[in-house]
Amino acid sequence: MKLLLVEDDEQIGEGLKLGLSSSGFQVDWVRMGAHALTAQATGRYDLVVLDLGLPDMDGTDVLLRGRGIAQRAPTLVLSARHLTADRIRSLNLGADDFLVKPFDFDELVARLHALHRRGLGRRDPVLRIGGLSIDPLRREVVRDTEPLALSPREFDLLLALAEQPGAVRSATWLESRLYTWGAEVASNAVQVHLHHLRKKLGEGWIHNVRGIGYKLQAVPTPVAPPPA
Amino acid sequence: MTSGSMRSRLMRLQWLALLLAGAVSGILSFALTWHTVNDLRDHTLEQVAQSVVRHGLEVEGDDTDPDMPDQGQFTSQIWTQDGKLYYTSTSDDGPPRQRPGWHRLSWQQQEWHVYTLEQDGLTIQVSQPSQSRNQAFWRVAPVLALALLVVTAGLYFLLHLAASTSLKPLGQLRQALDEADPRAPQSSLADRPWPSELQPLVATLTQLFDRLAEARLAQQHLVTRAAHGFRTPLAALKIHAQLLGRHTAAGSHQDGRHREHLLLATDRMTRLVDQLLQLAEFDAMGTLPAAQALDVSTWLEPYLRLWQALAKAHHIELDVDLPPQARLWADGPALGAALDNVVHNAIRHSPSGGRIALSLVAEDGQGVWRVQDHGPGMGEADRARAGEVFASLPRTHPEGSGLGLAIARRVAVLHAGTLQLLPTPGGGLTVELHLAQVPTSAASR
Repeated sequence: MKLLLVEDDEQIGEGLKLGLSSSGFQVDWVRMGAHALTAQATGRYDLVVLDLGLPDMDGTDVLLRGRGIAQRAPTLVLSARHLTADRIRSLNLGADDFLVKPFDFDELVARLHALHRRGLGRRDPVLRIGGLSIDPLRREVVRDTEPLALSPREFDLLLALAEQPGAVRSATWLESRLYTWGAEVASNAVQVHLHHLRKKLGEGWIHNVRGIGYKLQAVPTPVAPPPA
Repeated sequence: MTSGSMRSRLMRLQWLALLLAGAVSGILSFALTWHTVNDLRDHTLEQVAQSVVRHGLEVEGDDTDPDMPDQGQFTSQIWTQDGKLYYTSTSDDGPPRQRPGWHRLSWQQQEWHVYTLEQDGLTIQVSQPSQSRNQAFWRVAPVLALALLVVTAGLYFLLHLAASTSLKPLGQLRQALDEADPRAPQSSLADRPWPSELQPLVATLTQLFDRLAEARLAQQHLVTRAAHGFRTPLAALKIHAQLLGRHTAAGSHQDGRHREHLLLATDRMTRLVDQLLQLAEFDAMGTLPAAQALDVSTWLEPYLRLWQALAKAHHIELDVDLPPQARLWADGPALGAALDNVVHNAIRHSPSGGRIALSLVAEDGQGVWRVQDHGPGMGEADRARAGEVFASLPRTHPEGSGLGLAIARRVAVLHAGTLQLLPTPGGGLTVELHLAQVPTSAASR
């Protein structure tokens, strides 16, 4: 999942970046409100984590000005402001959730997943496509009853395709979901990860739509042969 | 500790005054009544004598009982021109003949008031025993005493009522103060119609309440802002503590980074606590305990070493310009803490390769410490708020606590001076500590 982190405190920012990256988020980190607005307008993010006390503008201004941005990602506000009035103001300005500093990191991750799920209109925390079960929080994949061992990139790739099964995703789109700014990405990185994923999932799951991209399609669960 | 009841003291004094007035008026009434009774009786004696003159000597065959001379009220005697006792109302000759006028004499073991009149060759003498007058007076005196007693009792009641009515506003004020909420300003207290004697007291009390409410509010803000100030380093501490030992996506550890951040966050919190304590200490000070004539170079030297090292670590040049052999009347530790905060701020906000100028000059009868940086500077509105405690300005550096300039301002005020923030020409911030004392040169002394 691609996440925009807006935090001016170096220590919290670095902690969040390290922690969220470990939890499977691709984190782009900006320290200014203006940069957050530009990033939201130009990049595709699944989630935004926003601090309120920014050096150039207040986080609520980022919320206010970000209202017009098409396909605005769900935003979780992180703030040291603990008053109920601050939460209400942020939520009324378009924030989707609010956490007061200091917060529990695992709670933050759980809330981010819930926000993302809600954004996609899902209730079940586990994605189920045919015989495939994908748990984004635990980062586990089970095909039929068999757990699959995927690398972090392969998991992210599968998740990106599984969020909207059947939708065709270009290699560029997939690359933007897998890597953060400035990451050194080999030109065929996506294809290499797709190749490994296909091998682990088995035939029939990932389809190449020539000239456009890739899509994930459910493969019916094989019916166990009746005992002889 | 109590110095007694105002009401009791007032009542005692009034009661004393009343008793004194009662005694004086009693004595005066007594004397006046006595005098009046005597006057009346004297007048009666004179009238009797005059009436004898008017009626002539026709007292032959007087049927007055000689044993009851004039019903014991008075005796009368008449002498003719030749000195012969022509008439006497007594069985004997009566009191001896006196010269014309008023007399008091002793006769038959009694004191007598005597009036003697000589007219038309006759001498008429009318006498009255003093005892008869005394009896007449003592018949009137108890009535007078009773009237005085009734008036005194009535006055006592009225005085009691007057004291209670006059002192009532004091009770009302006490009740109003009992009911007053010390957390809120008491404008309603001053709005009530108090007597003019209580108005200055009420005004002072209202001011006291207002100051109390203000102090409470300031304390509440400080606590809220301090709690807010602690949340950010606490959040950093918690994240890095939680991530310690966890694997990254690539399967490696970042424990080294987390430990580094844990230490940094702890340092930030320690600095915050230190600054809060420093501010509380300066806030509690009314005067400067360690004020003395400082040899500026010697005193500043250890601070300068620290600042130079810090500036060097941030690749910043710190230029220092002090008057030669300057001496300055100031509290060394307090001024050091103020400058330390200002210089730290300047270093934090200066870009790598930047310059900071620190100087002490005498300007307009003041000693001015000036710290000039070329960092991002501050807008006018932010400069105006910068000395507030936890002003939480946009410029607040993540490592800043929001207390440094508040400490500097407090120290300036303790030195009867001010803290001033100005834009540095060409960009940046200039912080000036204006102290009331001008630096002097040791050489010129």
